[in-house]
Amino acid sequence: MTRHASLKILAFYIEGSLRPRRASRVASHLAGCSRCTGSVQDLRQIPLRLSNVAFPPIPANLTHRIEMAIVAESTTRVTAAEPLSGEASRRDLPPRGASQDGARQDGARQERRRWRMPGFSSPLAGSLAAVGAAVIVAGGGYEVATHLGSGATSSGSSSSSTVHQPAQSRAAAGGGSVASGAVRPGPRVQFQHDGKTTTIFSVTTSTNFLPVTLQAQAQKALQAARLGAAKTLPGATPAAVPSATGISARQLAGCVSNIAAGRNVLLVDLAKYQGNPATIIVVGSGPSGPGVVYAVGPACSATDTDVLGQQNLPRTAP
Amino acid sequence: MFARHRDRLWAVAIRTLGDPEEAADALQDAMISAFRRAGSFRGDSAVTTWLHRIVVNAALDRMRRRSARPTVGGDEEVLDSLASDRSPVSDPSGATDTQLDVMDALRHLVPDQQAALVLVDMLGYSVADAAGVLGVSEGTVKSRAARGRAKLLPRLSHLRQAGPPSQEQGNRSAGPRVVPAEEGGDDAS
Repeated sequence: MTRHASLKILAFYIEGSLRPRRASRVASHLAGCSRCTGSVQDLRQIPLRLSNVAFPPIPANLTHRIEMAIVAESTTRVTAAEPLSGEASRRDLPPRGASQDGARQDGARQERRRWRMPGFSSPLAGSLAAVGAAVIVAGGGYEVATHLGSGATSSGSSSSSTVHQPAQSRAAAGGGSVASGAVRPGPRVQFQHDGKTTTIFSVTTSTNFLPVTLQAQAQKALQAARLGAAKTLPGATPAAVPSATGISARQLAGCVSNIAAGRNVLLVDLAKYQGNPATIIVVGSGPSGPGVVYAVGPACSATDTDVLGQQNLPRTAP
Repeated sequence: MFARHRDRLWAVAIRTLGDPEEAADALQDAMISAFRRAGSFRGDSAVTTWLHRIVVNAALDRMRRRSARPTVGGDEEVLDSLASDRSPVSDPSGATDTQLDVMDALRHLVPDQQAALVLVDMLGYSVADAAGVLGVSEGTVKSRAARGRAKLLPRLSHLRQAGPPSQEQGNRSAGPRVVPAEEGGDDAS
C-alpha cells in the first residue's frame, strides 16, 4: 500500500488541481485506503457543512443606517446620478456553475469617467439618487459654466478658473475632484431672459436637497455644475429628461421660465428634495442681488410653480 | 440597487467577520466607499461584482486589522475556552455546525483562504464569480479553497457531521475518523 495522502493533496485532488500523474497515483491509493477515502468524503462535505451554518439576517435598521451615512456623505459631495443602463444592473451573481461572467470582471478595470454619471448611484436610488428633482438657482454673481451660446457647450464663465480646463486635460484635471466632477449633463432648457431666448444645460446630480441645507447644497451644486461643464465632452449628447422626473422637456422649460420670471437661470438640477423627485433651480436676481434657489416639484410647469422650498443665496466673492 | 443586493452583501460580510456589529460596520464602510468611488466605476461591468469586491475588501481589511491587534488575545482565549468546553460534550444533539464553531475554525485560516471559502463554499458562488470578486485567477481561487478546506477539516471534524449519518455511529469517543497523521489524536483528548 502506498503512503497516505495529506489532506491538502486530497483537497487539491477533489478540486481537480493535481497534475494527471499525481492524480492517478492518488486515485489508485484511494482505491485501497478507507482512511483516505473517508478523508475525501469529509472534504467533500465541507461546502455542505459551511453552507448549512446559520448566520443572523441583516439587522433591520442597517439599511436605514447606511442610507443615512450616505446622505451625510452626499451633503458634502455633489455627484451626478444616472439610472443604470445596460444589463449590469440586472446581472446577479449566479449560483455555482452558472455563468462565467465573473471571469470577465478581471478586465473591468476601473476606467476614469468622472465627468459622466457613474452607474453606481442607482444602487442607492431607493432613497438617494436624485433623478427626479430639479433645482433652479438664479443670481447675478452665479454665472455658471453650463450656459450655452448657440448649442455648443461653452465655459461661459469668466469668474472661475476651474472652468477653463481644456478638454485635453480633462483626465488629468479630474484627478482630485471625484465627487464634484460627477455631474451628468441633462437636457437643454430654454428660458426667456432680458427678452432673449437663452439656453442652459440642466444637470443631474444625486443630491437629496433638504430644507435646512438647501442653500449650502445649492452652492455646492453650482460649483459642481461648473466643474462638470468643464469636463463634459464637446458633443456629448445631453440626456433626455430622466423618465423618473415624470415631466417632459417642454414642461421643464415652461417651469424654468415660470420660476425665473425674466431673471437669469444659473442652474437646473434634476435631483431630489426631501427624498422625492424635484427640480432645483437657481436664478440670479440682478448684478448685485442675491441668488435664489428654488426646489420645485413634478407639477411645476409654465402655469404652476409647485415650489416646495426656496432660499436666498448670498453672493460670493469671486 | 443597494436594496437589491443588500442581503447578499450582508451574507458576505457576516460570514467573513462573524460578528454582526463588525459586519454592519464593514458593510457601511463599503457602501460609503462605493459611493465615493462611483465615479471610477465602469458602467458596463457588472455592478454586482464591483459591489461584492468592495464589501469583501472592507471585511478583509477589518479582519486583518483585528488579527493585527495584540489585545485581541483575551478574546481569543474566551473563544478557545468556549471551544474546549464544548468539544468533550461534542454537541450531542448536534446535527449542524454552529456559527461559533465555524467562525472559530475559519479564523485559523489566512484571510485569502477564508474569503475563498466564504464565497465558494458558504455562499455557493462559482469559482469564476469568486475569481471576479476577488480579482484573482480561477486557479488561485481553487487553490485557496482547497488549502482552506484541508486546514479546516481537522478543526471541524470533532463536531458532528452535517451530512448523512456516519457509519461510526456510537463510537464518538474514539475520536474523529479523519485526522491527518501528524495531528492524530488532536481531538481525542
